[in-house]
Amino acid sequence: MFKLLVVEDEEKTAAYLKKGLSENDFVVDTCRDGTEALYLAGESAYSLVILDVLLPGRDGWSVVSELRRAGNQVPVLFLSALGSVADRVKGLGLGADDYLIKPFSFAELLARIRSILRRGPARQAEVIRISDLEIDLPRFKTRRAGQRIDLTPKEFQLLALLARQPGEVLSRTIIAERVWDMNFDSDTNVVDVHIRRLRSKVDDPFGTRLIQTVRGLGYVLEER
Amino acid sequence: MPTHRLLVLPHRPLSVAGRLMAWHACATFALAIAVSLILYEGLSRELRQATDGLLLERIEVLRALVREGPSAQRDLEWEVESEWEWLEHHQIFLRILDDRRNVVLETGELASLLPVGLFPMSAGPAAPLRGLRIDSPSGRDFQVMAAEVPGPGGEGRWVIQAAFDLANEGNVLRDFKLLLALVVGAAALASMVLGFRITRSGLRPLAEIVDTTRRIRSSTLSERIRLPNLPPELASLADNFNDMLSRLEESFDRLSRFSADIAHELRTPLNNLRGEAEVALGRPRTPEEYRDILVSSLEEYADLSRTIDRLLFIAQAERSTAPIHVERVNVCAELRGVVDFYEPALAEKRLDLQVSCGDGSLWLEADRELFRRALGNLVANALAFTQGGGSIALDAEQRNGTVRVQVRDTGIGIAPEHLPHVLDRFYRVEQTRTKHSGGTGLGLSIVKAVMDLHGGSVQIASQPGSGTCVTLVFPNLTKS
Repeated sequence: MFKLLVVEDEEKTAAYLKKGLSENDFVVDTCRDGTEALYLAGESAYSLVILDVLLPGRDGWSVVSELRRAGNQVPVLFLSALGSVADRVKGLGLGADDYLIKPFSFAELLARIRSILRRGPARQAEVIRISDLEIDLPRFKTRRAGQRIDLTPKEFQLLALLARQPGEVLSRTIIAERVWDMNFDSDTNVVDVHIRRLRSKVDDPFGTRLIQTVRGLGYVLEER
Repeated sequence: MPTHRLLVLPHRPLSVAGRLMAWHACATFALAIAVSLILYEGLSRELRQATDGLLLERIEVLRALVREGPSAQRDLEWEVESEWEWLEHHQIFLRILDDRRNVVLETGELASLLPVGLFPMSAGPAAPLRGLRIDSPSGRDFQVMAAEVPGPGGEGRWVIQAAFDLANEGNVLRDFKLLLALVVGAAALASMVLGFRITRSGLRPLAEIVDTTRRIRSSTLSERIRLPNLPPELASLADNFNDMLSRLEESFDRLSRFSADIAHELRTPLNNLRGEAEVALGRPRTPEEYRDILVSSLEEYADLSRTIDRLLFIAQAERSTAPIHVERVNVCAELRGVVDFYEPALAEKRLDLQVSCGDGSLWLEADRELFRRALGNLVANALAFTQGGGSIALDAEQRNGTVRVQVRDTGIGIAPEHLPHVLDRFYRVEQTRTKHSGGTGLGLSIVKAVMDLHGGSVQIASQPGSGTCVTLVFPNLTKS
């Protein structure tokens, strides 16, 4: 169970973050200004601090510097409407672990939080099994129900991306970014076509679907 | 404090009119004085020569009479003593000295006015005679001349002294001086007045320009300085000013069009969101219906986010504040990477795809992400505007120190009247906002922004009905 601290002065944002994160099995504390955030971070051990930059009183920049100065290495994820590269670089330079620009997609926030929390000891399994699907990452081999499936390198990458985070919804933007390196507002409908192709090889011949569409959010690999 | 600085007003410079007038008056004044001096000098020299002539003439007469000796004694006396009586106004005084320099004859007052010794000694008979100006002890000014002449019958060396009273000449010169002073004064005055008028009328167009410029506000940027017959100097000023106004007006127009576009672009999805939410809350619905509404809103939100991101990117690019991270990019690899992404979508639409980029050794100095972004937008456009069964071709080549990347399609093309505008923000060939074809209308603007940031350009050629060809021209940054 991960405990998160959300520092956000905008009430609505704080409320939906708390709700969304709690429903994704995180324990969430919220507070509305930097001074309180420093106090709370000193009191209890959080797994991650989600920090707005523009806060009343003490801003997010100074909260991070103060945390680091005090030797607190809690991971920090900035959420900010300040979207320039300079701001990003500043945030990461101060010791934050990630920087997300508003407006952001909640699915992406979740993905990034999980990616920060996963960093460190957890090692990726070499062969991932989901239901009767077996993905051998180092050998680039895929089998389902004992049958070999031939995938192109990109199809394999796409499947591996979904398989590495089973049960986690990945947005089209993240998929385009991670698999095809399309780091921008690319035409995300194209992702659907890729998924369709992958399904025709991985799902269609086997009756049950493993690649699920989550309407409005993206795709997830899981047995239902 | 800057306000303090403002309070320390510098010495107010003289107006151009005042300055011109002052210089004009000074110049005229100096010129008048110079002319006057020359005139005065000329006149006084003239007078002196005329006096010399007179004195010489007298001396010549006396010389002849002296030489004749006693027979001419009466004439001589008459010439010397009585002449001054009727020639009084000429004021010529004469004196004749004999061998031993005793006075033989002299004009009445001369003894008291000019003693013998005051006259210059004659240099000799051969020396040219020239008058000399001296002040007599009596306080009167004279021009004097002395000549050695042969005595009566050519015996001995007599001396003839002649003097001319300068009182009269002095008067003439004094009058002349006064006249000149008057003329100089009048000229200076006249030049000031005329200069003032001339500069005023000369500067009137300038004043009109100033008036026009003062009237111009952001709401009246279409106004221009339209003054006929401007002198060339001011005409070029007015032209430059008008050019500046045109540029200002253009950017102002673009800005307000931009704001209007933004408002419009944001209004449509906002309106959808609001409407959907209101309708949804109008009556109880099944969870499934609510979910549909949420999904639909999510799509609108994503659209809004995308539009804002794109606009910000374009705005940054226009102000050249978007950071660009130039690296060596393998053109072929990027082309294939982008094509990889779109390939299944192209295949689904039965579009033929050709990529030609040589042997893969074509490199480019560019921001990799931006390069892919531009390329991706072009391929997405080609995909959207080409009917099934058509073809899309990507070419890259090096030519004349530039790297050219071309995306050609056999799509519906762009009509000539739209062609100049397709790079403008929000410009859509179809005026309606259609998801499948138009997108946000920012794709090509982004391509252009990317190329601007790289110092390159976008060229578009299109034939309605037979296809479009977009060429990205990158300057080869390695060379610079």
